[in-house]
Amino acid sequence: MRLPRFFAATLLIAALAVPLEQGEAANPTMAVSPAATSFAEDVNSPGSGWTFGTGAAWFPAVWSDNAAYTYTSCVRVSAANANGNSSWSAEYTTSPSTSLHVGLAVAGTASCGTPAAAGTDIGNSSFTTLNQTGNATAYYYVVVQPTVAVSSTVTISLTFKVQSTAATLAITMSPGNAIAVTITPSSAGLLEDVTLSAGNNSGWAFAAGKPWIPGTTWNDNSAYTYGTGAAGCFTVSVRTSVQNWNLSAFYTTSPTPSKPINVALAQAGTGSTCNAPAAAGTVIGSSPATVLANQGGTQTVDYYVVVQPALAVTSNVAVTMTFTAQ
Amino acid sequence: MSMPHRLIGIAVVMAALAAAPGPVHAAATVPIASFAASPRFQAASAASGEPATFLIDVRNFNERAPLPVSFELADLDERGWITAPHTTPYSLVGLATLPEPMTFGPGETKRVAVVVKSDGRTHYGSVVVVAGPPGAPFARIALKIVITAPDAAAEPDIQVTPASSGTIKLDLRNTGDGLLSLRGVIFLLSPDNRFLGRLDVPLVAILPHGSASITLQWPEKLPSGTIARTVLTQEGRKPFVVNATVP
Repeated sequence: MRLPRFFAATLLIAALAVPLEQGEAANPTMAVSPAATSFAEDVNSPGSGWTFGTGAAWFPAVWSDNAAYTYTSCVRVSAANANGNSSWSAEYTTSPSTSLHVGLAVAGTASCGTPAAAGTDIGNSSFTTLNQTGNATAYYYVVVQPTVAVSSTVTISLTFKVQSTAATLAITMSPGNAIAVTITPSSAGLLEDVTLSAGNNSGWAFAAGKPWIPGTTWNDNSAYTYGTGAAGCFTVSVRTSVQNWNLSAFYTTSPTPSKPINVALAQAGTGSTCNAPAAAGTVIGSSPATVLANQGGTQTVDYYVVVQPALAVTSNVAVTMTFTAQ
Repeated sequence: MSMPHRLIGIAVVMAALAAAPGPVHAAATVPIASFAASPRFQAASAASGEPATFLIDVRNFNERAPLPVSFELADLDERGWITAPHTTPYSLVGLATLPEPMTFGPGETKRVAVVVKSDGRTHYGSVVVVAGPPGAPFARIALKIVITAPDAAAEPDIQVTPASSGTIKLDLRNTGDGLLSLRGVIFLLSPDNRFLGRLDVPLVAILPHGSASITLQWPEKLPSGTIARTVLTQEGRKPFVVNATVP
């Protein structure tokens, strides 16, 4: 039966006049402020908001402690018209695909404060449930920890969701511009013994047959490797995002010995690998000699320091090696 | 008869950081020296007689020991590598005022200023951040700064050399007084202009009257006749195109 036109209009008016039940008529909304931000990523940066270490209470417990970034002001996230028991969730994606961690640490509800509890590690392309439900406002520190220094700009899209609605914070992360140099160990004491006897050499070697003895420029009567085996290396680490950098080294002695001391660096591995060097060492002099050239990004190199006194020293001599990164 | 021994001390100091004695356990006894400086590169323009300020961040990564830090000035050669001070016509010597030596606390970060007074011409050089005790530093980090006149312009001169091995070499020169900052793309085309692939040219900054070379590698061999069409953009300027062919 066809309804009279008047009756249909009356029903429509009546329907519109009925108060909306909470949470069923209006669509939920979610807002993020700011909607976009940017920073220069630098796991080696000496400042600019980067913090290192797990000292902060909000640092996600599952992360390593070598690099972290705090978003220096809070991100405000709010939801409206949501069901009271609907949980918030968040995920992030990166473009281009980049290995990093993103965490959210609650910094307040009424206003932006300082997070007091460990942040939540957010999933990459997988929503992670947050400890927040329904209609609410929350302030978060967004914590980003790159696992590698980036060499090109990366966009991190951090999406907050409640029910079926979502809002996204776009973070543009550009490569950093810092260089960090680390020497491990930074000092060592060697007992020189040019009159080697069996059982009393403490690591001194006299054979030129070692592949890492520098070519023909050294005599074969005396040489020292800084320790032997895995413990024998010392490590130079240059952490940076920049490309095309060089590392050089020179040495000085104090006091100046009566006869010169030969010094060389023989590469014994990279990263945490320390093996007996396979190639002749680079002779180091009083002016910088290049030991690494045209490098890009972070590099860690292990060395044997090879020291060859031309004459037995009669008092302690400090040999200082200085590395220059540029 | 045993050989007479002559045990004489020699100390090899790879870094003379004055590390405080640590706990007894082995891991804590390894002395570590670590510091960082940034930014690696800065440029500014200033009219003659006007100063330009370059801010530098330095951090002592050693959480246990203080770190003496000093600052030195060096020149840069045309490719941007440090050389002795006051040896190039673009030297900053006499124009730059460096921070005084200072000691950083464990884990401390400081921001310091380098002020360069412009003489109206282009100058560049390196502020070398020296870490470690005076006379026995363990490391230096060379930061580059450039100051130009406000109207100084870069003049790019680009040569592209593709090889059948897949290597593509870019020789870049800047014949102008301004800083040349370039980035771009190399499109690889067949002789009949079919698209074969692309390589990104990373951002490169070339000093005034300086030069640089970049070598890029295509993962396959390039047939003879392949065209390397290089499109480079300079901030604020129209892009320009350089074509070269694999012999």
